[in-house]
Amino acid sequence: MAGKPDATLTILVFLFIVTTVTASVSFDVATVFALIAYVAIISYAVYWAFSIRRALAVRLYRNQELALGFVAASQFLDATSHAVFIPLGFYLAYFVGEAIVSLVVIYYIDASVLAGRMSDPLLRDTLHWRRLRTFIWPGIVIYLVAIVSVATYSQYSTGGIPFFTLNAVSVLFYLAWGSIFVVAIPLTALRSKDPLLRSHLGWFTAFIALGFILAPVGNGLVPLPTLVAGLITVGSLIAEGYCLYRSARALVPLNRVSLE
Amino acid sequence: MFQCLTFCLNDAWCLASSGIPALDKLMADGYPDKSAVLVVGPPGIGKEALGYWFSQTGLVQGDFCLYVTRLSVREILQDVKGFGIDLQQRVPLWLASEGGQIRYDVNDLANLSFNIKDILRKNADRRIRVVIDVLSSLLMLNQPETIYKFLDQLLTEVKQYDAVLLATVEEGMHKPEVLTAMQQLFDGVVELKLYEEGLRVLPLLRVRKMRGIPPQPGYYNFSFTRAGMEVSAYGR
Repeated sequence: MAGKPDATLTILVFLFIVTTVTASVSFDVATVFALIAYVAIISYAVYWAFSIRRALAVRLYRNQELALGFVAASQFLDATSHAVFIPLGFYLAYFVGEAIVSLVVIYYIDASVLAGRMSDPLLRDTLHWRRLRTFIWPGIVIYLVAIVSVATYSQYSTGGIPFFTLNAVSVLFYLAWGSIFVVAIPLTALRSKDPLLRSHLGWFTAFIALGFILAPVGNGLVPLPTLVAGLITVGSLIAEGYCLYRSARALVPLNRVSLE
Repeated sequence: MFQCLTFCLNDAWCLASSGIPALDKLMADGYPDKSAVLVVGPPGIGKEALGYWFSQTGLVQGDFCLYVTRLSVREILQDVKGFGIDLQQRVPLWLASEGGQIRYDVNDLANLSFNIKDILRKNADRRIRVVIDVLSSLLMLNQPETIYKFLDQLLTEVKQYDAVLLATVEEGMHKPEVLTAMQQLFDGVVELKLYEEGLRVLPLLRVRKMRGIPPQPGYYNFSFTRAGMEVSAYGR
């Protein structure tokens, strides 16, 4: 009997093929199929993350699933932030969305490194994380308050900082937490002797990697025909959602009740 | 608390309360005397809580309690607090990596064995409860055969005293055959696992085996509250 992950993958591949086929006929219909697939898989990932969290008793692991659920939910925000926050103005619409996504990913890194220590038989504190986090969190809060404040000021005053400069700062911030992720998560996985945690972190890393690698296509930085770029973007978003879903389920072994 | 006091019907048949009345009921009033019980479950499900309640109940009754952990005592006390248990009024003897009376060194299996046996000998005139929360890390750092031998010797020693030992091991971190072999060494096995039923995830408990009671195939729902662990029959 095929498991849920296999069935989910089959449905997603089917929806992506339907999207691809219909895209050449009607862009609107293809968009509907793409949206169905994207919303479904992200919702499914959020659902599983929160369901497993509810079933766990220990705060460290509950936090990890909570963070994963937030990351998955923030994907909606990331995709719609421009529309959701646009009444606040372009600057805020852009930076608030980015800030929230960064915040939840950093929360996930924090929760994972702390939980990962428990499955290291030598109980090593990766990157002295328990001390480091007492500096990282205040730094992040200061950065986020500063970027949103400056964005607000620049939005409503004539002598504000140009969007390009703010965006450069934002990219630097992305690179900073990206670097922490690149070092901390693999090291945590390496030190952990828990194959489930490794699988969980592996799927999450695949999600982050897809986001970074395919972002230039989504942002129109790669010269591709609109249809091809659109399909790559849709495919990558669905694949990211699937990675999150697998990551949520991989943290713990899910058994089936036997009627022996 | 006093509802679940350990009682002895006679010298040959004593039961040690798990500290959880609902769980005691499933096992005919507690863990068998002079027994070793293994709690199996995935990380985060709350296996350690069974050890906390087991220790707390023993301490309330005046038993001698030894708690072996790879964490620091401070971390354990923080975790204990999360389950609404107080281990600060009456404290067990800590064999811990930090903050305990005896230091636990994950790389020194011989010393661990020596320390536990020495403590048992020194408290031979008392009723003893031992909680061991280091098996998974030992299994990850050593050959399984080494750990089977270590456990076999330790459990034989424990049973020479008026003692009950409770150990925890992680599900999913070890090969299934290793877990099966581990379960063979113990008198009782309590499973706490997550089960997938349709779109639901249920934490279920099962007493896989327990010396002195017939095998129980039934599953039970369980949850942790500030008042303790609640166990109820599971029905589809």
